[in-house]
Amino acid sequence: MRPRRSTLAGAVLAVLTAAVVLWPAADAVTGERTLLFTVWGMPFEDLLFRDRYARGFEAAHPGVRVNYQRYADDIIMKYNAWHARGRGADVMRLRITDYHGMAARGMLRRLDMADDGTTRLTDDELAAIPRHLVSLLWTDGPQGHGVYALPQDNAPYGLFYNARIIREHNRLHPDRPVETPSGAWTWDDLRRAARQLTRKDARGNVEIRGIDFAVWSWPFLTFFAQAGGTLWTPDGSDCLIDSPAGVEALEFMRAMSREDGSFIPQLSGYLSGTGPDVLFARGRTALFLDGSWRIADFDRNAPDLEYAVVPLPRGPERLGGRAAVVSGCVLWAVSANAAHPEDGISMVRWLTRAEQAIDYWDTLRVAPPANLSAIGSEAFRSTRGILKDPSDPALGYEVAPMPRERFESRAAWIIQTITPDPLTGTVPAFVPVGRFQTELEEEIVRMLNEYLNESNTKPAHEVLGRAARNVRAIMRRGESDGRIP
Amino acid sequence: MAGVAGAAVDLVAEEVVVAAAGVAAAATAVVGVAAAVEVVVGGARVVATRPPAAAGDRPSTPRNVTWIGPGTCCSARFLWYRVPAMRGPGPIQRAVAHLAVYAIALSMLAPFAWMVLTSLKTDQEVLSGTASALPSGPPWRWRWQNYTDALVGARLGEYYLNSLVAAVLTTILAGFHNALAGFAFAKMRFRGRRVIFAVTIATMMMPVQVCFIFAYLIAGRLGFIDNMQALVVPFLASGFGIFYMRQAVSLVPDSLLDAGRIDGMTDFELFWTLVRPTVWPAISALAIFTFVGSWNSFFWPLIVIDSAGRKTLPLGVAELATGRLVLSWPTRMAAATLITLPLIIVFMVFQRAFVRGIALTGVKE
Repeated sequence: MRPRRSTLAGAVLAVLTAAVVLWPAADAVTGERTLLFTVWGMPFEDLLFRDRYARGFEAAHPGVRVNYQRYADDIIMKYNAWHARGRGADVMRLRITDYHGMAARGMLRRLDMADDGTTRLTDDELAAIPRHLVSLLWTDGPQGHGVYALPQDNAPYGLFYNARIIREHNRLHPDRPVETPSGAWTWDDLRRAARQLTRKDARGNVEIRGIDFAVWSWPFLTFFAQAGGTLWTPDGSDCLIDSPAGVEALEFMRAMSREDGSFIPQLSGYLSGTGPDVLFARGRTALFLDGSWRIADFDRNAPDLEYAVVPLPRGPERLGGRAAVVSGCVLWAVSANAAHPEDGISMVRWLTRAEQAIDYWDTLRVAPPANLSAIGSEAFRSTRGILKDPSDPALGYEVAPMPRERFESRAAWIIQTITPDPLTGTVPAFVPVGRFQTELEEEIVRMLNEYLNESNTKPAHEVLGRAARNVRAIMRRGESDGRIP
Repeated sequence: MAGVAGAAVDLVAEEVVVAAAGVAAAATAVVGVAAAVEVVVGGARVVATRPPAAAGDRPSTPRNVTWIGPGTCCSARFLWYRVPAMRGPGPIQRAVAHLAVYAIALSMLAPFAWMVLTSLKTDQEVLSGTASALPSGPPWRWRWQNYTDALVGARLGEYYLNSLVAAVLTTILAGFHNALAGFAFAKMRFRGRRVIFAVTIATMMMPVQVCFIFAYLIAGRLGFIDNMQALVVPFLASGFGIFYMRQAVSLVPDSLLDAGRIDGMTDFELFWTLVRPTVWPAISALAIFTFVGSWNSFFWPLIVIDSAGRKTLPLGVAELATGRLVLSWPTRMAAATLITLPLIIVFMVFQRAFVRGIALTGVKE
């Protein structure tokens, strides 16, 4: 008797289902001393992380294999999921904004001290880290107050300027020239130059923007710090953005927009590749605030752009002329669930040595390495970049090189951001962190979108007050889930 | 047939000769629109009638139907309501309407055109202030290399295969399981049916982010991590799919299934022989939803896939957009074009069934 067609179809689908469910899984790469090394990044970054770091560590440590894995930006979700299953990477790359929370939740292994109480990190290793980063590394975790990660880089914000626009302006207006921007500028200098460099056509449309920057938390945090503001109370239990410094920062931004017409805010947050950076790359903006990561991008995509970068301006003289530069930071850490924690710690220390730090700058040139001896070396003054195809140089660069002669215009400013300011003796660079930093920065973006909107009539202290109240409400809710001890 | 409601109508007869199983299907299909169906089998006449619909009425199931087994030839006579002819729009109105429709369609195509054209430019062209919409030079000088960069350099070719296998397997198996479960909930009587269905519906209320840690832990215990099963097994059935298919299957008249049972069919044969062909448009629509969902899925693969060789296309595209450093818009647009292409093909193939499926599940018996 022939089986019916329906029976056959059902059987085929049932077998297919069973095959999918029961198919034996292939084993992942494992071994007695195989380290899991995880980063986020783009494919070409394998040339550094895989080919130089993973393979380099293997070469330097016979018997150790490194299983390199690269993910997209949302790697923190993966770290959380792994931790829930009791697993983790032997060496992991993470952002400083995630660091303190991960340490507090017991996701990281302490690096500065072994379980038996012996010290691991040498004085030289700690001394190589820029001063403004060292204090941020100490945090609380299950293994006590200590260092749970070491920094890879330090990405500062800077003032980019289009030299051709300034030169053209000075040619047309010799009676009121604009000086070449420098780290000695204050808010007043910046505002005056932006106003002068703004160019409009006969119908009043803006042809050249005097100044531009993405409307997100970092520019506000910069102006806030330059006006003397402090984000959090020393114990981190309260948010202080509704202080007079917040009002100063907001009113400064709005004055450039409304009174001067030199700044046209694009209220869309930080856009990479579609925001104010494109207008600057196209030569439509005179002054531009953005991060060190933009430089290699401009060098590759806008080779004819005649620009340079200098430190951000100081605060107004009436407020002390404080120098402050907001910065980001990426860290290397070892998961609390690492299969080979000692090898992982060894690799983290190896990764933060000057040689590896220079490799990072030489290839990717995203941000200066968090290693003072690397920054002070001659190798920091030029980079080789990454060719798209090493066998065919004609195809150009994935990451543009920085010849020695471009050091002054591209990277010299970075050294100033981590050098103590002669006026105050403090390092201008600062990294905004706090237990509720992410929530605070989201509130800042909402606040800026409201305050800088053309139709807004609310005063600065009112929008700041609401943002601060919202953050405090979030903090109160956070107290119940143990995020504030 | 909304056009009938309230209009002066009369009846028109249409006689067809079909196989008996065809009559059953045809009668089911015309229930919503025919005034009556008259089936003649071996000289005996069976008539199913329905009164003209009043405004706002919904079509009702014909009564007095005797269903006949497969293999018997018969004739069926459908009596249709004749709808008074309506005056169509004039040529100018039509031209304006067409222009408006084409303009809207073109505006929707614009982002796709921009994506494809950008994918053929150089990095410098994209950022150049004087760039035109078209890449510079003749087409053979456009930067087709961006596609090679995306496929080989960013390993999207490898990820393409992973995505395709996962999406096809998920679509076939989920379509089967959801339809089978929908059939069970709609047409079978068993203890706890309502409660189980309510629980199934409840799963639709929870965003995946809420329960992904638990799902991940379960997947880990079952060994569904960093393999193809991790991408397929959790989606072999879904609350939405079961609900959708249950709605579609509930439109199939019980009398049709009763006829099958009289013919000695098992429950699975009823599903396969009578229900599946009837709800095929709904299955096709669900297949599109499932394929698109699997193809675009980012969050779950991000969590469960660890090895580079097992990643899916959305993960690869996300990597091209990772970081704030060097961005290559042409390469990203090439990747976006590659990831969009299969969806367009799937939609074009299933377009008609998709629309019918949506319409079908929007109508109750």
